[in-house]
Amino acid sequence: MFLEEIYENSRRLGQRTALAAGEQEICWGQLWPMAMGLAARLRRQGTGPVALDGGTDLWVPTAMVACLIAGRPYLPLHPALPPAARRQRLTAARAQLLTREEAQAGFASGEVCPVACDPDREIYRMYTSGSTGVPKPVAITQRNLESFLRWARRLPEIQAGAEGVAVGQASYAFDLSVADLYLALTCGGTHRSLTESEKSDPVRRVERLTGCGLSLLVTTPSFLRVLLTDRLALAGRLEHFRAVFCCGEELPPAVARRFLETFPHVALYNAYGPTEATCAVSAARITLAECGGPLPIGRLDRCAVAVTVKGGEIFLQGESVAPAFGGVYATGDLGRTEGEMLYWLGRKDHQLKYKGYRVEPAEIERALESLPGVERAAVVSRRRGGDIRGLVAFIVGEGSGDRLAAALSQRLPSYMIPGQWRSVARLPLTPNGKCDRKLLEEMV
Amino acid sequence: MMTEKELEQAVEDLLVQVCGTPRALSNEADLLEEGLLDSMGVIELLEGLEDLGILLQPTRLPKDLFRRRASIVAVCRAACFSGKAM
Repeated sequence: MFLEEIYENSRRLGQRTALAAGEQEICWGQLWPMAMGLAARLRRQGTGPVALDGGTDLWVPTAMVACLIAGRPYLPLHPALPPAARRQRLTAARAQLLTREEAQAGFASGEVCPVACDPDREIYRMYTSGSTGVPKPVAITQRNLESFLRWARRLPEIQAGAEGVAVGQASYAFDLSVADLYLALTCGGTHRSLTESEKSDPVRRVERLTGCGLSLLVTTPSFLRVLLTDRLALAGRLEHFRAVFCCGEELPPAVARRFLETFPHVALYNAYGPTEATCAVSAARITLAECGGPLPIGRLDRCAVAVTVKGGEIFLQGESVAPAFGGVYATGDLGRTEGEMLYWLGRKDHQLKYKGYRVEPAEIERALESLPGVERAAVVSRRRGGDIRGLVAFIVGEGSGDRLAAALSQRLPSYMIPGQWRSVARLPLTPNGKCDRKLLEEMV
Repeated sequence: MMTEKELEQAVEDLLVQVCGTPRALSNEADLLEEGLLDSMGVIELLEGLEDLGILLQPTRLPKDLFRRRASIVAVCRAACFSGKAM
């Protein structure tokens, strides 16, 4: 039971840092009592979800552990989410919004309560884009998380990396963060979240990565590309670096090659999996020899769940799959197998991965069409090579790109705001009368 | 080995491709301010320059470098013809 492991680590590891972000640190010996103090209060206050800010401040992951102890699911809210969307989610979930002040008062309370242990209880709820155009919540249970952790810890170098310093760059509102946080907490390592300025400023980035004792990096391919622009400054200075768990979007072979040439002794895992199946279900360790073509995303016999490809679509069946899907999840991802190796071929629908974020064009189009002056809208990706470089909006109606972008930012997170805007007299249609997205992509 | 003129042309072509518009080449354009070059755009630019044989080190570049075409071209020229990674 993973909470028991966290408790044991807290007792055993005393002064060792458990959680770090920027200059903040919480040591293992403090983590459990702090979380327990808040848990006792949360238990008394109710049983429904606890919403919290998905930022890097350490009260957030500590409060997440408190929710786990209290048996209440946490609902992390992305910092980029506009207020209206935030309010909508809080209301729909009937969630209690926990503030930093309330959390800190709880941490200091010294209270105790029994530790929740029902493995089928919901432990977190994360929102993810869906093809209806409306983001939907996914409820993950303790059983789901333990299924992920059991599988991930068996990947060579991942456990060893998680016993050192596990660095993550994703917000707690995205389930990629589940990998770095819970691997570190269960393996007794130190978890570090990179802050916004550490992610965006090259000098700070290099200083932090070379100074923190990095042993396991959990990252999107987009952020890995950012790090690789620093590689002259990083090469040879990451003595403890053992593994990278890379997930969230397609990993370009050229990026994998550049990484392996710079860090030949670090295990590079190209991982795959939807939020609905708890972070990731498969991973392939990439070698230089494979970097001449599309990279595998796993081996069928070494996945967290049973993976099958039917009618070209990847299906997942097993303990990592959220209960809402009745044990089998149709991912909407197209895939193929070659012997035991699994490859990703794209999406059935129009969903995109942009900078690791799941983007459903229908969601952006709905938001645009609800704005005054916009009759029809279509959003497609701008690509260079195989990668998505940005989002382009085609608008039938009135309104300048700047004004539409500003209006959209009241409703949608920043990564969903198109970077380019084109005005058209009408949207091209296919013979079936649907919007001809292929043609629009060619026009980009 | 490129001439200076070829280098400038290649860098400008790349800049237009990454920014998605020839406005990127205007002397008045502040690429960061105007959103023509966002954080991933800077990465694409650095990768594209590397493909051209120009290796820039972000930790050694002044923050405002990516605001203007002229300063980008200048640092590329220096990197190319001094033979060092900048």
